[in-house]
Amino acid sequence: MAVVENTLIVRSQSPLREAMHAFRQSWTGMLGIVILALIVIFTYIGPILYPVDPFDIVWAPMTPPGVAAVAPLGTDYLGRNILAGLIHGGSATLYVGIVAGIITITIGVLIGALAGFCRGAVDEILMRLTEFFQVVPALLFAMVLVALFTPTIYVIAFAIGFVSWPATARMARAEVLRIRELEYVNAARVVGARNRKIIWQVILPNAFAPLIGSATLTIGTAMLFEAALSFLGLGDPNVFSWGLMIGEGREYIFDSWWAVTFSGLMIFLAVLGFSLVGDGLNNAFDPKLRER
Amino acid sequence: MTGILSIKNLVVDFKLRAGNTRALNQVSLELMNGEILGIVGESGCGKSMTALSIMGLIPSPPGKITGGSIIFDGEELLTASKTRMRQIRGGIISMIFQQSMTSLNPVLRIGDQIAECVLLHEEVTKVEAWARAVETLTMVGIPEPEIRAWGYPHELSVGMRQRVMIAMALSCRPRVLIVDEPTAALDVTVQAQIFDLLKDLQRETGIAIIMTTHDMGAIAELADRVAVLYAGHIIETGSTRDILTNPQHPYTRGLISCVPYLGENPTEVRPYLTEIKGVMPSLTGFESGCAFAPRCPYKTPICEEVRPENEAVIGVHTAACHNLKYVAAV
Repeated sequence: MAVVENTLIVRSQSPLREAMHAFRQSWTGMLGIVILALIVIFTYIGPILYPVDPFDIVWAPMTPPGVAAVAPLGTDYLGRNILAGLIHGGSATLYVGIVAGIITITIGVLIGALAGFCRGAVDEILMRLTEFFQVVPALLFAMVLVALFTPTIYVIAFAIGFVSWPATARMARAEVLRIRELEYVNAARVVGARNRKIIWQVILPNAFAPLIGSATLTIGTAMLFEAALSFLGLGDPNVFSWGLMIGEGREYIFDSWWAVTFSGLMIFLAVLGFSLVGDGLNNAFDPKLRER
Repeated sequence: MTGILSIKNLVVDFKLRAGNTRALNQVSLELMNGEILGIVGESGCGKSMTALSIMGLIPSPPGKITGGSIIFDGEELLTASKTRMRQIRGGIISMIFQQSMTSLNPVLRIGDQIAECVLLHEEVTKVEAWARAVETLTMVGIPEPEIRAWGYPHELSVGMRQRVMIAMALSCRPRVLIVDEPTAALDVTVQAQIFDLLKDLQRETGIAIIMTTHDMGAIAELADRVAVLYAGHIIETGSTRDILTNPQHPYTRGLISCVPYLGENPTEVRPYLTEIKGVMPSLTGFESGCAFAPRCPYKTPICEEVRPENEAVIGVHTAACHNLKYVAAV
């Protein structure tokens, strides 16, 4: 009877819930969730507990960590509190990373899947468009976009998403091209499925693994991208971000290592968290990798 | 017996860089209600193309059906609308592909895949569709179908996957089943099981089956009637017994003399096997004359100029050869 009981347990679960169950079992995914949760608590609860303006000059410039009680992690080249910067700069960086990541994945997957599935003229046109975006250096393009509009955090997030989709599109197209020739796509067609159903239910779920990997990487690169824009002075001057701290601290890296190290560490942790979650999701949605 | 599916003078062209390739040339076939029709031929002779044209799934471009007609129960399939074709696929005519290993979607539950197919064609609730999936799995002999339906394809053996494929094809109770090389990748014991299953299903449901294969053993095992396809031409048709014991066309004779033992008489094991010399001609730049002429040992000048028509031999047995009497005498 044990087997029958077991199936009753399985029966109560939808595929999504089953995937979530598998996700909770994978230690990489859960570690990622823990890291991200800590970062979220740090950046969203932190400002309440530590209401210090990161733009305020509080001590002598370039004070090392542990010297002044008012700035436990030291000060930057203007004498601003680094700990306050870390706490208050997180939300902007996370916002840019996530929004740019979502824009990149949405445009990339839509264009890539359409090109790969339709082939022919549609493919040609979409791929030439993608190549047009690819030959323009992404950073330069983003700079132009930010310079054209006001450099607010929203414009920056949008600009980063808008310039980094071509790589995702090419990968999505390659995956769709590979999968559409597989037998089970034909088998779906043979039982009378329409194209929309084939794209959404047959091709894309099977392309999930590389796409989720690329999505998490994209969030990481978007955060670094924001840092690069801030470094070039094109960041939102009214918003403090980890990228801004790295950008400004870079020139003084040999005199005050703490200015770039802590914010760099935060970005590293955030990217690591997203990657681990992506890895866990990937395993959870693939029935073959799923632990039974 | 009445006809259910009739293919008349079907021509399929592929426009390639090398030129126009005629994959099927004037293919005519008649499928009767409740019979198993075997289409036999070597690789690239057009077996799969015939199957795909019935389903309306010729890869296009480059492929195109340039002539002929496919009539199912009085309805022309070549001019049917896309919506109608979707209803027909799976609902009325179903197909099973050669590779059972890769023909199931790896990320969907087996039960969901079958239920999906039912939902596409019939006004049923998800629960009913699922019940139907379990029912079909039982029908194709999957043990513990309620449990298996919750499994994923990679958890099954190859033979079981082939059974699931058959279940999927039969879930909407189609009237015609096309089986493309059902046993290509299976080992002999599993082959035998699948043959038995197909035979039983055919007997129970009265479905008409078209089976393409290159395996004379499979033909002998399953088919009621056989059509021999060579380079896109039907060169001989007849009952399985006619074809196996009394082949008329030189190519069919060659095919049969390649088989070590046909099961009719166990003492008649052939110590030496003959071969058909040469290879199948390129389908590009099709010429007049008999397609088999370049390899034919009985070739006469007329063979290279005039394409032979299918002529009746005895009863339903027809063959396309100019020199039937001469070949039969040798």
